[in-house]
Amino acid sequence: MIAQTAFTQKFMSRNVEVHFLSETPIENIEAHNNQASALFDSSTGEIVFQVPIRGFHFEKALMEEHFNENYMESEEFPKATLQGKIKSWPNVSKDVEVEGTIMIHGTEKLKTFSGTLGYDNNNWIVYSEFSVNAEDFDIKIPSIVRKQIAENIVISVNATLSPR
Amino acid sequence: MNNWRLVILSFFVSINSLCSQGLLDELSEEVTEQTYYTEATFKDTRIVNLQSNETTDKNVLHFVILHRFGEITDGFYNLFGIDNAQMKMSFDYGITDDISTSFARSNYQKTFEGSLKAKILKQSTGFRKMPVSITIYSACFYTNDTTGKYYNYTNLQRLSFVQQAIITKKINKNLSLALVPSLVHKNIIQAPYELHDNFILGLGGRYKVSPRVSINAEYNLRLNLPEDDRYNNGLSLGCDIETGGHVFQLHVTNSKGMFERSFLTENLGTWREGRLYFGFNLSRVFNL
Repeated sequence: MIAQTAFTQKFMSRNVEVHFLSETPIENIEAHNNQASALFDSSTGEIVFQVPIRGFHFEKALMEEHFNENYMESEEFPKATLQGKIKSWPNVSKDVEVEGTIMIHGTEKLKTFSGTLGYDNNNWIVYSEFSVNAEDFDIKIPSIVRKQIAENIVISVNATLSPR
Repeated sequence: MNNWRLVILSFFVSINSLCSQGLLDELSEEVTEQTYYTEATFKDTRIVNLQSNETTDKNVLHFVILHRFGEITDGFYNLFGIDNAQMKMSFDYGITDDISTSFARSNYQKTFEGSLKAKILKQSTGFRKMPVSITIYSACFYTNDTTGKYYNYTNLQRLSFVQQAIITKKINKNLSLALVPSLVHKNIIQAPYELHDNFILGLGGRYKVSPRVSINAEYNLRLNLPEDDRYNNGLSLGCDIETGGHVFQLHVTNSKGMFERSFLTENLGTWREGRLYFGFNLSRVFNL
C-alpha cells in the first residue's frame, strides 16, 4: 500500500456518499447525498471534499425544504467543504486520522477526523464517521423544535476515489 | 522577537492552508454544477387568496381549513364579524412532486370545487438556469345551493371555471413576487352587471421578516368590466407563520369568498369604506 504512494497521482470521485442522522427519542431525521466529490493527492496525503447542500435528500419533502430554507440557508451557503491532510502520511495503517478545516454554513472549524483508508484495484476507499454540533456552525435551532433535533449530528462519508 | 516568530509561523500556516485550498479549487473546477430548483418561493400553496406556484409534494396530503369571518365593521354585536364565519375545507394531494389535485367544499353558496395544478417551468440556478417559475392551475366550481335564486339552476348552470398561469420569481431569500393572469368563466351570470368571461391580472408577493414568518399581499385587477359594475378589485394582506408541519395564515381582505370565481370577480367589500373581512387558514401536511 505504501509503495503505491510513491507515484505522484491524484484520485477523485464525483459521487461520494454523505449521510447524516439526527437521533432523538421523538424523531430520527436522516438524509442522503451522493453528489459530493473528493480529490486526494497521494503524494502529499492531502484530501479535500466538496458537498452540495441541496444534494441532501430526505424522506419527507417538507423536511428538505426546512433544512435548506431555515437551517442551512443553502442558497447563501451552497457548499460544505473539508480540506484535510492525513496525519503522518505516508506511514499509515488502515486506521487514519485526518486533520483539517471543515466548513458548513459558511463557518469554519478545525477538527480531527478518524476513519479508514484502503487501496483496492487502483482505487482509494475512504470511510469516516464523525459528529458535529449545529450550533458550532452558527445554525440556529428554535426552542420549539429543540427536542426534535439531536445536539450531535452523526455524519458518515463513503468514497471510492479512482485515478484521475 | 516573539512577533517575528508569529509572522514566520503564520507564513507557514498560510502556505500550508494555501496548498489544500489549491486542491479544493482544483476539485471545484472539475465538478460540473448540478441544477438546483428554487425551493419555497412561497411558504404555502396560497399567497393569500390566490394560488402560489407551490404544489403539494408527491404522496402528501395537505389539509387546509380556511376561515373567513363577517365584516369587521359589524361591530361588537357580531364580535367584529366572528359570528358570521365562512369556512372551506380543502384536501390537496400530490400526484407527483410537480402535479397536484385538490377537492374542497366551501359553505359560501355550498360550493364544491375540484382542481388540478401543475408546475410547467421551475426557477433554477446552477447548471441550468431558469429565471422564473410557471405553474398552471385549473379549477371547476359547482354551486350546490338550492335556496332562493339558485332554486331553478340546472347542473350546467351551477358550474363556473378558472384558468390561471402563475408566474413567480423568488428574487432573494426574503422577497418573492407573483404575476397571475386568470380567466374566470361563469356558465350563468347571476345579475346583468356580471360577465360570462372575466379577465383578471393578479399581483402578489411575500416578504420574509424572519425565517418562519412572512408578510404577504395580493391585488387582483379586473381587466374587463361590465357597464354597470358593482364589484371591487380584491386587495388582501396576510401573514404566514410556520411551525414544523403547520402553516398558519392570517389575513385581512375585501374578498368574502374563498374560491377564485368569488374572490376574483365578485368582491363586495371595500378597503375605502372599511368593509373588510378577517380570515385565517390552518394547514397540516400528512405523509401518506
